[in-house]
Amino acid sequence: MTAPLLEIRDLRVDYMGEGGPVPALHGVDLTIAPGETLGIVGESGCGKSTLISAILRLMAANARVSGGSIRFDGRDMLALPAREMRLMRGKDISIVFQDPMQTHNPVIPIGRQLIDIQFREPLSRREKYARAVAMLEQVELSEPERHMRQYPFELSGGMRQRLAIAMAMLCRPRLLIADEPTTALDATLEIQILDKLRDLQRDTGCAVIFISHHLGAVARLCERVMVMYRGHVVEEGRLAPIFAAPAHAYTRALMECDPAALPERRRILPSITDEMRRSFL
Amino acid sequence: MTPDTASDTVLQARGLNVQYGTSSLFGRRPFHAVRDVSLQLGRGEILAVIGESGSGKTSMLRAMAGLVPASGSVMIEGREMIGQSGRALRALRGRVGLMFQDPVGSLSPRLTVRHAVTEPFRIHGVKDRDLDAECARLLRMVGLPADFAGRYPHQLSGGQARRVGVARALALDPSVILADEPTAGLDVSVQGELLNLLRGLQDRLGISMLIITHNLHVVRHIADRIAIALDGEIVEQGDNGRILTAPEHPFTRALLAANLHVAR
Repeated sequence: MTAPLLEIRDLRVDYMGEGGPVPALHGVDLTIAPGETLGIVGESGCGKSTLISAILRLMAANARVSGGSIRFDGRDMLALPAREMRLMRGKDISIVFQDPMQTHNPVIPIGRQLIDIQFREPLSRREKYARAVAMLEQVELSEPERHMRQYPFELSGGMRQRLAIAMAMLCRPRLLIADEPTTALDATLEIQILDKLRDLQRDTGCAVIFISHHLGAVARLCERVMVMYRGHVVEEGRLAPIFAAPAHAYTRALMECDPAALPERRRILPSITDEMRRSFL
Repeated sequence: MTPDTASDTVLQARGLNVQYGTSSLFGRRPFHAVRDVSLQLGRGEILAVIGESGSGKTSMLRAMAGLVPASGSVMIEGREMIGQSGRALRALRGRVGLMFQDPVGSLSPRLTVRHAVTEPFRIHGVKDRDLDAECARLLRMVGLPADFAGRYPHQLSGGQARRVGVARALALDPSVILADEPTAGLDVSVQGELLNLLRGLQDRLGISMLIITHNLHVVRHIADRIAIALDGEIVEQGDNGRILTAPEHPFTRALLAANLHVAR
């Protein structure tokens, strides 16, 4: 077996509140091999975002890692000096956020943002420009030379998310984290963006962590899935068998709530009741 | 009374047009956001308008709420809204409850839930009501505890904020609710609860709803009728079953093909 790219063991994160620490992650384990695609699903507040902010060391000011370890490529991420961490972000690990409207700097032309982000690369400005244009072509932004001169507000939502992906992939990361990248998009755009992510993943061989509450989207992109509930990993493994026959009650409830999964039209939709919630943990 | 008389139609739009002026180097060029749209909403009916971003859905809804200048005709319970102003327009607007997209963003961060929910009474100059009692009544209708009245928007979850939006829309006892993407960004379980709430209100109060969304799965379960918007026009409309099983327009077929689901 190949050495894992990312290995998280028993990760515990608390948020410091007025009444003392509030646990957000209760000992999360996660392993990703190079080139693997992992989907993380779970509802708001399950700890998905806390987990990725811990991986990137971009946690909220009142968050604290109270136990466990994060190793990337064998390196202890929690002990890494801030300067080295900054060099890794965007180069080894990059991220695409949910809201394509707020990802980019609104007052800097797209081209300059795409060149600046390559600051770690030993390339001339001309080479960086050429690479940026090639990347825009790869994400199928139709007129890359023109887009280089434009500002983010001149692009539509779908185009901006393509731009965000281009930016995230530009330095050929080994791990791409995509945090709800299609939630703000229409169904037709969603498919296009997912397929683009899949193509880039196959071409570059980078590993992907894809966070979503849209089970259909996760199924289209990922080979493995991890289900989180209130800071716990309740189920984890290969996607197809889990989606076909979920073992945990929460996974089953989540799948039954997906209106796309209901074969018959219903007047009243299934939801997760408080009573069901008491049985999950 | 026969079923097709006007009194069974709560809202009727005919030949609705919305144009926005856009300035460019060569002067002002009008942008036609809504073109010749005709829609009809029966009493107690749920009509879903589906379409992509930029298809003019939100402009249609705003025109039907009398919030943007439009031409054509919008009849609310048999009374014409287009061309009205002042007191007459306000009276018609009061018959239409509005649920905005992004409920947290549409609530003022500095004002309480109580203020947001009772604001329609102030806007419409309703003075003879006990606003605390009204707030408690409206929160009860949407399944929120009475003590939520004192909360601020940042203390609400996404689902709770939507419920506050529903409570506000219900304040003036409207005959129609217009909802713009009511479930966007919600978890599937919370989405189900919100849709069940809307369905329950429709059953209990006989209220009609026009829901704008791009989530076809939601539409399949909740809508009685479906209209498809493309580039500011309605290209197809009909009963839920007919649209979903026998779509006629190529765009409707493309839309149906694009919706992802987990294969079982």
